[in-house]
Amino acid sequence: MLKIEGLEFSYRSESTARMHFDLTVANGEVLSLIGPSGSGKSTLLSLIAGFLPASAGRILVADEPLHNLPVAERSVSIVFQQHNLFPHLDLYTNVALGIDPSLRLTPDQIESVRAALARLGLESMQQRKPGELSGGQRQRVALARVLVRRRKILLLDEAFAALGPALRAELIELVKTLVREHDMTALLVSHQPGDALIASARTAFICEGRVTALAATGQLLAQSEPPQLRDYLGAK
Amino acid sequence: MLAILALLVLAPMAGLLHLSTLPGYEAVDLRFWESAYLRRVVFFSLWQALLSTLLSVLPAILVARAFAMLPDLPLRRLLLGLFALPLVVPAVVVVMAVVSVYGSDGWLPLGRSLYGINGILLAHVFFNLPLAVRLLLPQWQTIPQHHWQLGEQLGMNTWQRFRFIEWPMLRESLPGVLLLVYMLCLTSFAVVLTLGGGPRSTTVEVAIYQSLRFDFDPARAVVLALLQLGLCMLVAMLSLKLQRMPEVEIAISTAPRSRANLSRWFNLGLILMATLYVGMPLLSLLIDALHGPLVQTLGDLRLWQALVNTLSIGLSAALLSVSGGWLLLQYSASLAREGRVKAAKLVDLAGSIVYVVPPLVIGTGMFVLLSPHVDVFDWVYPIVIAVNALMGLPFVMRCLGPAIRQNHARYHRLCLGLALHGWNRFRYVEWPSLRRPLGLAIALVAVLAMGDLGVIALFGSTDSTTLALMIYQQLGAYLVAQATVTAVLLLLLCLGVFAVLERCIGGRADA
Repeated sequence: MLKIEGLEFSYRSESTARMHFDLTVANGEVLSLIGPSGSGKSTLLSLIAGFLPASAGRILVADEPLHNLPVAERSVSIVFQQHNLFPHLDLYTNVALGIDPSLRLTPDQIESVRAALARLGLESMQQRKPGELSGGQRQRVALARVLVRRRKILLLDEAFAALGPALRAELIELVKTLVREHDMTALLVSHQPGDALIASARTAFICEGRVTALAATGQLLAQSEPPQLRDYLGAK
Repeated sequence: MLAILALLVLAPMAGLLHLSTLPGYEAVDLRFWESAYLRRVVFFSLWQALLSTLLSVLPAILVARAFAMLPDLPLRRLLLGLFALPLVVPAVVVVMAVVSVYGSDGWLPLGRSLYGINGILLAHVFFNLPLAVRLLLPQWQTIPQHHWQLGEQLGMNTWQRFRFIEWPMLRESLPGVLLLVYMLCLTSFAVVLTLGGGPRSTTVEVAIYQSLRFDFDPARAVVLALLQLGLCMLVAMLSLKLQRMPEVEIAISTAPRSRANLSRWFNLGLILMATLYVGMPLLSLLIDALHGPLVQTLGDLRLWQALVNTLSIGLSAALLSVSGGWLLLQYSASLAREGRVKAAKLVDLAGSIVYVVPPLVIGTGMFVLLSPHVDVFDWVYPIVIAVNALMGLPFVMRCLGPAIRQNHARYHRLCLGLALHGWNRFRYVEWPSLRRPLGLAIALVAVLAMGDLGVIALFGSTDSTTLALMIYQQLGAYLVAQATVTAVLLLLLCLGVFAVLERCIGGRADA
């Protein structure tokens, strides 16, 4: 379980209000985060990953505090919209970096890299460079690296935003399967409310640095309160 | 314009070749490998350029990285401004600054060993380390923020971050930077002439000067010029092959702040050392000048005449160079618009190719061509202006080229639609977007011409002199204290002219 309690942050250079997050996500759950640009969705993921320092509050994973740990020691993997892969390295190496950046892998670890690539349907492409792949294939490689890292929390920061609707839906389904198979917890940031419908049973609406609504996805997308949600969804 | 360019570059070479066929002159002998002297000169040219390049660029990688890792460093902009100074400081002033620190009376005296390869390397590194830092630093900004974050999440240490994130970016731009610095050191003239200290440390460029000035042996000058041309073209072709050359641009890096204390102190130490290396000679020069014979030197009327000459040469050359470059670039942009990309590239190349022809050869050739028709000593300044304008052309092409091409691509159809041409097009479309690169180009060419010690050293005299030549003459007469004062005057003049031209033409930085 991922528990976020009173997590606070504010950008020094901006006059925006202090962000404050409280959120609980169950084990094995995929939770979608939707909200307008600049509302704090990606900031929340960066706080969980440790890229930004929280000024107050706690992050707990299975009741173990995460917020004081260095980035590399957090039980978190993140997939961005782009730049997930190092373009000069082949797919195998890109995934292997997830196990050990020194690339000194044991035979078992090498096998796990191959297995992860195979699981994502990329076994025949191990020697290719990211530039030779489609956008969807590149995100599959990033997911393969998530698998070999074996972390509890998976953060998807608009990971599929650049893809077409059909491919997006396919990859979201794949994520759901992987989360289930590997007993992870996932947070999926998206600009498309439709993605939330496919991805998660529950969705949180984030606005002005706070979770202002959290409900079953269908219900949330149909409700007209708070007003910011209505404006965001363009409902009359 | 292309024909004029070809005439200005090729005709002087032909003039020298013709001269060497006249009775009383030695014939051109291209078998340079049979001459021990020429072999030694070529070897030394290549060797000093190689050492200078390695000593400039390798530390520059570390210093640029240190700047990239410390985006919140206090006085960062000021320090980077200091690193821009060597771009506009004349070579002869740098020589004085180097002598001021490392000369026998300097803060870190090297004694006689300063003259020769040591002095050449010290001066070349002074010029090129900051240039390489400025060229390499923006490359760190091209690294996506997500790569830094991934590196952090994957637990990469400093070496692994360098290997997987920084080196791939550096590997693309490094050959271009190495070759540019190599070319600059290979064609360096004033530094080698003044700090070389004799025949043992002579480069091809200086040997051309010696052949023409002291031996008046045009045949050997032609052989040397062809050699220099060959070497430079080789380097230029390699540069073209490797393509990517970073733009000189400074902005705040997006690299993560170095958090570990040790690494932060290491980076700070690197920046401090580089700053001292660049700042100390200039500071020492200023102090020496203040303690020097200020009244006596500044009271010399010839100094002020030289200052007027320097200013006239600089401004005229800049105007001429920018006008020529403008025409070439407009022509190239219109060719590109018509889909004649190869022809457009050729025009661009023509504007830059003059860089590989030694200015001394052009100047001497012009002299030889003109001498049967006019009293050439009346023509010293026009020749110096023409040669400097030609030498400034590659900088103009580089500063203005991208902006002019972009303007054509973006606005040409719109201008056609609105029937905007001529003055109105210049006023409403071109001037607003081109004034900044135009200001930079004019300022750069002006200070380069003002500090030039090439053609003027060949034909100038005590009557027709510039500040740069005056420094050389004062050094030759062992008037080091006076030369120091003159050098500071030239330095201040160059900085002032650069700032005024860039500000007046380019407008405010935030405009």
